[in-house]
Amino acid sequence: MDNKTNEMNLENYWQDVEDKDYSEIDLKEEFTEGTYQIGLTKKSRRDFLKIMGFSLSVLPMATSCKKISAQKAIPYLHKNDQITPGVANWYATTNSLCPSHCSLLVKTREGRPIKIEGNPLSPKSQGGTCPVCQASVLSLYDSSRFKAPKKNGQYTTFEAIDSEVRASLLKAASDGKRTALILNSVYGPSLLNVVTDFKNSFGNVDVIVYNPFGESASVRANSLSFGREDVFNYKLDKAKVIVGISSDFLATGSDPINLTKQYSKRKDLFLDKNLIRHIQVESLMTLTGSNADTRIVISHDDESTFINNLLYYIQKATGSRLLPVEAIDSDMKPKVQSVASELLKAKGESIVLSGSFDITDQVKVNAINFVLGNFNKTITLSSREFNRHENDADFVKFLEDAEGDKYGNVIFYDVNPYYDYFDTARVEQALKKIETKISLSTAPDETSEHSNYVAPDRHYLEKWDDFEISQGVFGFSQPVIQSLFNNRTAQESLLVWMGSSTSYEDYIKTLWENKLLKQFGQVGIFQNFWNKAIHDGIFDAHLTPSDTPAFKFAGQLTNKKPVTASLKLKVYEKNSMRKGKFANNPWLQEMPDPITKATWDNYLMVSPKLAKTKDISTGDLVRINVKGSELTIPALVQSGVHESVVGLALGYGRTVSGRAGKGVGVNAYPFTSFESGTFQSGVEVASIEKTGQKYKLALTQTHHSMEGRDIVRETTLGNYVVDPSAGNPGGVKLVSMWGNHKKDGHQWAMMIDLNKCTGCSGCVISCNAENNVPVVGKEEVYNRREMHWLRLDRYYKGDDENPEVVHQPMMCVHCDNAPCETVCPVLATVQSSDGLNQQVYNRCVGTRYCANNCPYKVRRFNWFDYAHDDKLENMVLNPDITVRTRGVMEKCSMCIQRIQEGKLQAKKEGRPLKDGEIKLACQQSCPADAIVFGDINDPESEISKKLKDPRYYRVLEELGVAPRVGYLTKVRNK
Amino acid sequence: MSDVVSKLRKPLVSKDRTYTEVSDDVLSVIEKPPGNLWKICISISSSLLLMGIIVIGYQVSTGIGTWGLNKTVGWSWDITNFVFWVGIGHAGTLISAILLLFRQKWRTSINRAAEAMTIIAVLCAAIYPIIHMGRPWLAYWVFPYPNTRDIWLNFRSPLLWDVFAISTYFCVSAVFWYIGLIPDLANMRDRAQTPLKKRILTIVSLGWSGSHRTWHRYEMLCLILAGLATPLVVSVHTIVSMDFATSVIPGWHATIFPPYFVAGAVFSGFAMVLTLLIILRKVMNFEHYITPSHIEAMCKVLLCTGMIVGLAYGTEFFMAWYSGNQYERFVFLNRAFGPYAWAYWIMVVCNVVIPQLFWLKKVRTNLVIVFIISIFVNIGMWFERFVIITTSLHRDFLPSSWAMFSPTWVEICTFIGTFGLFFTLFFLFVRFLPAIAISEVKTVLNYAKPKDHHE
Repeated sequence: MDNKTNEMNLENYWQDVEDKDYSEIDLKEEFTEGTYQIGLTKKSRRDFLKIMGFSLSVLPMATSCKKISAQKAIPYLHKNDQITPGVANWYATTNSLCPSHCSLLVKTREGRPIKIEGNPLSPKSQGGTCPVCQASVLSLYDSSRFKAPKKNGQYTTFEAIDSEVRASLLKAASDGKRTALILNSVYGPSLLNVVTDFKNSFGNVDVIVYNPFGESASVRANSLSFGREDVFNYKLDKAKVIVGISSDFLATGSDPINLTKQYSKRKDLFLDKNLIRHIQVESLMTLTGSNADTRIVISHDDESTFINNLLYYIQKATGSRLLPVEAIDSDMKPKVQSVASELLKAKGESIVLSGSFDITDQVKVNAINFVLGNFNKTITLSSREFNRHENDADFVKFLEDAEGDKYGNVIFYDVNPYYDYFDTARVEQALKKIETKISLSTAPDETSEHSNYVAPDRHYLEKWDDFEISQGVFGFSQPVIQSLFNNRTAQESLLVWMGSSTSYEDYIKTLWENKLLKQFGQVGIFQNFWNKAIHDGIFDAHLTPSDTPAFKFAGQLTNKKPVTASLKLKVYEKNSMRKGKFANNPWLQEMPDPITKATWDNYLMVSPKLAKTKDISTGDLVRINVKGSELTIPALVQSGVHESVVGLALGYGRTVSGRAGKGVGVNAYPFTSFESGTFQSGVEVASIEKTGQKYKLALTQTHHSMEGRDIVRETTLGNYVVDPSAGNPGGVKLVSMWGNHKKDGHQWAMMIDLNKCTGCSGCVISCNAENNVPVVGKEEVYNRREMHWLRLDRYYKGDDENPEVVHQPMMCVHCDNAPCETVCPVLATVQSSDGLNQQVYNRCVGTRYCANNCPYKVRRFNWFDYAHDDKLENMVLNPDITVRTRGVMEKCSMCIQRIQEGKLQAKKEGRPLKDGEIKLACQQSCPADAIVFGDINDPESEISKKLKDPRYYRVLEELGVAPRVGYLTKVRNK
Repeated sequence: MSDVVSKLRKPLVSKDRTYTEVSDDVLSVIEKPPGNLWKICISISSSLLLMGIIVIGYQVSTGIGTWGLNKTVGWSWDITNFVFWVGIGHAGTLISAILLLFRQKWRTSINRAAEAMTIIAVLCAAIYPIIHMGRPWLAYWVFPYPNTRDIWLNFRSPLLWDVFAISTYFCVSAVFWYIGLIPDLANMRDRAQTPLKKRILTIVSLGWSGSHRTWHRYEMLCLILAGLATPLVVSVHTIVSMDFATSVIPGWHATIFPPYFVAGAVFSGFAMVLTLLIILRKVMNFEHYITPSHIEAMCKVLLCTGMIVGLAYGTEFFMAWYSGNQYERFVFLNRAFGPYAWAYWIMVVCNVVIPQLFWLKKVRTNLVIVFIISIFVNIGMWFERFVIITTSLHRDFLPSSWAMFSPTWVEICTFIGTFGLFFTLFFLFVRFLPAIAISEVKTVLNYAKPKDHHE
């Protein structure tokens, strides 16, 4: 074993900054940049050993709580009594990366966090997670993160920059200049307190909350409507009718997981046969819209008109004059009236949600909900005390002030205005005047590139923090691994710069001990509280929610005139890339978009009608002229998009990022604007034309029709009530020459409720993380060689302009009579005694006959040795799962390692395995609880009971392959 | 062996030749130093072979990913080429074994070259099952050898049947060919000028003495081997077809496949024999031995097997409709009108339409046209396998996984490389071994016939 190589690696990662000269050259050698593409990386056996050696020797250090030098690393001679090699430790924490702040459980193996799961204790996310949460563990091992603080692009030490930053902060105070602290929305008491302390300690600090396309419009609207700057808590589970107007609340927005949990409960026919009725009104095709019972396609410009007229008709019907609105003439009248009448029938049991970035629209939506009497029933104002919401206008004002040379310092925390402000040239110009720019970013971004100082923040898995995730409910973050680099919690940096020497951990504890607990009337020993809070990751103060005050509009209603542009470009958020923060996460880049099934790119979403008139087909490069500038971009023809809109996803086109995110797609922010107090989407497209060139769009699904095959079976609620087996003609009577397999012991099976699955694809990423599924890169996805064991098939039905959509998770269905098994010449795929179809990697010679003969096409072949060249990234690998070599077949194993672990645990404890004890990775992460897994030999198990449901069917049952994975029909409430 | 010379049939060797003249005609070519034409041909073919070796080396060291396959289409050019080459091999065995049993004398002048072609084609074919594996260095795992790991093979897998079928076929064909060569090798031994040559030929001719007893045993052995090889003609392609027929994939899962594949194999094999022999007779001055009537006979075989293949195409369509199976129906409509329709129609035109010209004697006797048609049939039969394999896979049960396939330069170069191997070995064969079975041809000479039947 090459010990020298080993030590070299360790030096770069682990030694203190003083010991190591962080010259660029050294780091470049270690973290070679390049495009994220597997291509033809040559990996020798020696490299593999190197990586293994590195990982093994890193473990003891990663788990120790004090930084020690690599040379003194010793193995487990004195075993840490909390760590048993081979047994996972779980820690509760809270995701700080997005405003949902989902509660999580982190699985660590030998000190390494390797998997994220939802924390079932959280009253909000209830154990569900989104793709971003699932993938966030990979960001921890992002080798492009800052290794140490930087000054003017050069690595240095915290001691060196701290004194200079503090001097600069003090200098501004004495010069009569101001310091700007720009951060993202704040939902944590401790961060809020640090910010307040920071502000008070200097006296010249302006705190600006910047989060473009966040909650600014609805927060401003709520302030105007109710006098409270807060966001809503929706209770979809109490609603009968929901109307989403251009709101992708199941995928993006502020709280997709919580809303999906609630939504899926109302889609669960085992709970309540009176399904929720979901009407979606939108111009682009969103994930939420794809799940709607009725989807109304309108133009982007008509969205405001729709809201206005909806309010008008509802007010007219109820005789209310809450807001003085007049109906605007439009051809949507029957559609608006039908929506209004449905809402009026469900007064107090409906919700209207809008994704509009226009304050007036949001005020009108508030009025609609108020007139319908939904407040305090299905909607409450979340009275989170410890928050600070964004206000888009603040940042614009800051820019003006900066241009006026008002600022001496600016600190960026978790914001990236050099990338996501629509006019980055202006940002650059305005901020040039600011002498000291400090970035608290964890990894290089456009803003840190422009900053004089970088004091890198830690990844959320490396730090302490707290969040108010809903009124009176707090989530706690705890470090689950020793910080991988020489970085420091951002809050601690602020504390140091204001002259405090408290660690942020102590700061949080002190705040809770001295102030917050008393405030919540908690008595008892603080340490007990603290231990429990950290253990659970959640503390619920059980506050009684306050009533939402009456709607009292306190502003001037600016009735926007309907704009008539023939074609508008609308930006939207994907649930993988979100707003660009996660661009450097290869798992998210490779996640097929739930709707378009595209990976590694953004593209111009074009309606079929427009595509026809302009002769555009998917993959054509088109030239569009927007705001006077030209942009060449690939087009993707998307069913269900209104002909007067083209869509472009945010979050791409990062220029400063690690190798996965750099240069992927185009930046959509320049095509947004700032109007009437908020950042707005929807700019006029002057022209759109084909260039004649083609572009390789990496799509995982290119055929969208089921071709009349009953792959996804569905019915309507009306038919279902009459006959629960409606739409499901039932199984085929098959005659077999062979006897059945022996079915003793456990017999595993899975069932997916297609009525609950929203298609969010969180399970795909969860499966990636659990099963070491390799990332293959854009070129290989384009070659149709993605490796995902679990995929979401999405089919369209009916009208191309407004189709019905179905999502169907598809993975190895573990056939009893598996066609793959009979054809393998070397018995590399066999049936297990508990009914699973198993792949024996080291026996496989790679004839691919099994994949050819698989009717479901779920087998994945290792065409190359997939890149494991990023040694740090490899630390995310699950040690329970073999990393597959080139030339072997792989596929869903039904998380055999989890089954095995559950069985062993029960055996050790001398008890039978409990139903639901084993949760597969996809099942655990599913925010819709659509997946049921269990033992069909146990008559009391959930799956045994649900298998008898008349909605149950198996795809391609007529082939006689007897799959173990089945589905429940989709029931549309229309 | 007292044949009667027919008044109606043309003599099988068109010029009156004595035994010595026959030996001279066939052997003088290979006793002379090679000519420039041969040198040019072997340089080109061995260059192609070298390219093939390099490309295969690159592919094996990098991964199957260098091919154009994907998650949906797991086989395409690899297995297409495999079946193509195995099919070509069939003519040789058919000519040497079945025609021998049926006492078709006209086979004598073409069987040697056809058999050589068989063996070479099977070698070319055998490359593909090995290199198409993800881990070709473990290819020996498909053999049932005793091992300490206590693992065994899956005898239910048609791929395993293939292993046995192909290896048996190769062995029997090679032995048959070699046994047939022995009298000619002895002839060469007797004519050899240099001691080294003589020595080598003495060894390889296994002490042939030319005695009656030797001849008798030789003929018996040939008959037995012919008997052994005859079922192989049918079995090999039957089993190759089972790679597809036993699967569940619509377009593959068809009971018609065994006879359909065997007919196709004979069809393609005869086409390749025609292609080669039309050149060979010209280049090697064998016009009197491989006469237009030989060519005509082969054209008739082509016409017959081509129509069997055409009938199979039609039957497949009928069955797809008659079965009422929507997947089956879709696959065939997709073949004829889908994105690979061009390949399907190339197949139909080359294999069914063009060979109909062989109804005309004028066409059958015009060697240039026959040569062109034989090339078309070669192309058509390659496309047949491509159509069966690729179009069935690329759009099967779940439309979400439908994908297209297009070959990469690696696949194309590998295929060209196998042609390099084929022609290199074939050129070496015609250079160093008698391309016409001298001893057998001598039996069909007019010179050999009883003279008293002459008018």
